[in-house]
Amino acid sequence: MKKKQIKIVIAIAFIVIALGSVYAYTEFNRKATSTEDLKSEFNTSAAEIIVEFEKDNKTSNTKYLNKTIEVTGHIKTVENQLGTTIVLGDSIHSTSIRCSMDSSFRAKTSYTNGQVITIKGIYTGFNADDLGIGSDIIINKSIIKQ
Amino acid sequence: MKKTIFFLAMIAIVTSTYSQDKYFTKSGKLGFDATVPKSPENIDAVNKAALCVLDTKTGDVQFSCLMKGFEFDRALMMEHFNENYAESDKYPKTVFKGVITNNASINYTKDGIYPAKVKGQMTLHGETKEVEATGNIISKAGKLQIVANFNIVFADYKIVIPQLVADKLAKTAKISVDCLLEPLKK
Repeated sequence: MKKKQIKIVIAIAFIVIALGSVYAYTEFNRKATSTEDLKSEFNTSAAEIIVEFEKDNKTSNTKYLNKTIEVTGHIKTVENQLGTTIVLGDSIHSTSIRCSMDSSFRAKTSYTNGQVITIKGIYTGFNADDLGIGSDIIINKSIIKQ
Repeated sequence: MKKTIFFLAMIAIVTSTYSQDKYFTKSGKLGFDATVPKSPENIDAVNKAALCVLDTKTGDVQFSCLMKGFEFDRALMMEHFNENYAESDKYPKTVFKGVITNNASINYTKDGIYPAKVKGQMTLHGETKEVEATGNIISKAGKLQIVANFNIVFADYKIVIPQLVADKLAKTAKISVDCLLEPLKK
């Protein structure tokens, strides 16, 4: 009887260790979730979010930080140096939305300035206009929704 | 007399806003590598949205980047980096302000590769430390590319590496800079 109990305890311990190691292994190797699979928590327009940030960038920063957001707006410029960055915004506001595209991003068509586009990405932070070159809302790992 | 002063002031403003002394980028690339030599586990990340401004007249150079902008391959590494080491919520930005010490020997307007030395102060994790780096400034077709590598010691910035991972995470990080700067036009 005692022997059987010991056996059960050993078996349970073994299972726990095995499950633990599997969990540790998968957790360790877990890749960052692709933006495609993330659920958007905010859906907004470029103009709206820019106004929000220009009004109070601290509150807006806390509100959006690390959140997946979808922004629809006009393309200001597309930069293709060391990876693609699509800049959304208008000429009225000095603040722009800089969407640095995910490494999986391949331009399917050429984008023209002024074109309306929806981009999904992770809000990373706000760069205030310290250097006199306009402030920016930074969105990382972006993908094109539409 | 008043008119002359006014015109002189106007000329000064116009020339200062249209001068080609300043170059900048908002999509500079900063690499971070804290892999232990010979370790099979790569601990590296890249930030593709670094800000850089260079004044070719004075040699003043400034970088800034958001810590949350560093992208790691492994999600857990990124979480640890932001939560335990860099404490990105508390210290969201890293800023370097320095000056190119051999600025006079660089001919920014002529295409070519120029070795550059930069010295300045870097603020990371709330700590400011003196940093020196060497690199190249490549002038090509009116654009300037800054390429540099330097090391930072985590302890200098009060970033504590737990004993448990001390053999996996190097005590120094290699930082690589690759920025393509365009003339600043306003």
